[in-house]
Amino acid sequence: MIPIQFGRRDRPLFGVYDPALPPRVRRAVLLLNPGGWEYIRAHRSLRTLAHRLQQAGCDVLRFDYRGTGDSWGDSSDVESFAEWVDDAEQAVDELSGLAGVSRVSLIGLRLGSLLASEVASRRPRDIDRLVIWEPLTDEELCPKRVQVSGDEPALALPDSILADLATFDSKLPERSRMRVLIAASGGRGPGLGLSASQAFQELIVPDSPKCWVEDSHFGAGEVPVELIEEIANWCVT
Amino acid sequence: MMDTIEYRESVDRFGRNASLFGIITAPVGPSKAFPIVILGAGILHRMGPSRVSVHLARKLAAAGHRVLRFDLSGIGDSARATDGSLREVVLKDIRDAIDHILSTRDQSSETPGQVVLIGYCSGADNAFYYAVDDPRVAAIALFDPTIHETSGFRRRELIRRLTSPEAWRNVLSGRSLRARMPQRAARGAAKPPPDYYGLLVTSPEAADARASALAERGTRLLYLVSSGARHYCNGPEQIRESLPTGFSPDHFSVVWAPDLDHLLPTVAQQQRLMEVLNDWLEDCGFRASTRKSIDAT
Repeated sequence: MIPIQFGRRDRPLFGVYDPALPPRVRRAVLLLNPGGWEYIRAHRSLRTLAHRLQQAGCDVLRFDYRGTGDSWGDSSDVESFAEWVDDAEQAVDELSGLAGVSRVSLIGLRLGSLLASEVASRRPRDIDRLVIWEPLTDEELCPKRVQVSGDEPALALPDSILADLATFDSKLPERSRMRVLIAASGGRGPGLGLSASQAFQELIVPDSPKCWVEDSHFGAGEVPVELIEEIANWCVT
Repeated sequence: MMDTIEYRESVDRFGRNASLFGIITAPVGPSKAFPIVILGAGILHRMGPSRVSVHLARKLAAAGHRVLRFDLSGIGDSARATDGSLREVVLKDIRDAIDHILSTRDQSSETPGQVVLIGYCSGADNAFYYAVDDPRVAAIALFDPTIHETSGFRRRELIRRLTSPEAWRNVLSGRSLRARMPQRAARGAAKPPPDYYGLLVTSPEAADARASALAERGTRLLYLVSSGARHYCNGPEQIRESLPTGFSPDHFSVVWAPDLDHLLPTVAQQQRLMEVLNDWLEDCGFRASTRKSIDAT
């Protein structure tokens, strides 16, 4: 695990790079987190997935968007959803360089899946696989449902992002050869504005106690181990 | 909005086998203030609730402190440790963090070989528990630590309920009794709490003894109590009550802040936390006062 900073020197983005363990499969995977409180809760799951992919021979990068996590700035420094997409594109370039590959796979969790699909639609030639993990439902995309009233929230998604989400409609190129997986637990169906003609595989892992139990559970938070295993397997096959 | 960066950050692996992951946020210029270690809450990683640890570290660095926030073993990006019980591992992690921030200071700086610990929630309990055995801890700021129940707590709670129209409505309607039935039925099946992360909590007597030892050593303590503690602490006087021999007015400060939420979810609340900490750090002499220069301008 190698902590890195990339992007503009005066506005660095923080990331953690997990170089592939041998035997390498020459595949690089960028993880896109869900932002806000969901990111705090999902941090352990993303780390677990990164390590699983690393053990499977992939180079993995996870990073914090501007104004979030350990990266530069506050939520007031984020003016639009497009800026986070820009950050994700920078991360794609960074990972390509670190891993020495020309194409990258994207795994986006919740809000991260919107970023992933937007990056994939902007740069289809640079992306070989796309995993939409627990996508946001249409109700969740409606800003009124998640907006916090009163004082300026320190962690909730900035208003600028919420406004953009309300009109979000990412379309992958229809003739793209990109492989797409929609992964969800508990029977959540896809709720993402993907192009109807885009062929995708759907992976639903039902909620079960086993779904959340690690081999070495020690009280540091629950992780959807079965789903993570399935996603990792799909990424390397 | 942030126009210029008033801090610099370095990401480090440190501790036993370099297994701990932390970030030091430092002033752009030389540091003349006490270094600070932030102890996070429960199983949350170094960002803290509502990203408060990040905001706090950067603001404290802009005010002159070097600040380390890190992940306990097995949390965030720190590797899981197997060199002891959970309690032993947490204590070793805190010691490693203090070793790290003191060993990486600029030798030409005027910072002392002591640190200030800031702990949230279970991180506050960890700080209080740990500090007694390490004289390098000059001060601890405790945000919503464990505060033991006292007779004063029970008296105030009784008065509150006796004078509450809502409580009387619940009693007269039978709602109160119905709500308590499952609780009473389950009393016999009560289980001891699991050994979660950071539960370095002592008995009331042991906490009092630890407070005495800290006061005797001259360690400064700040208790900052938010609305999140209302179920176990119903007045600022409860801190003194719960530490009958250990509470030292010369060394201990209490800030009663029922206007603050336990998770500090807004910018305004985090600014208020920063103001409280700033005032306390300056009053204790852990940083040169900036108030005069502000007043003069």
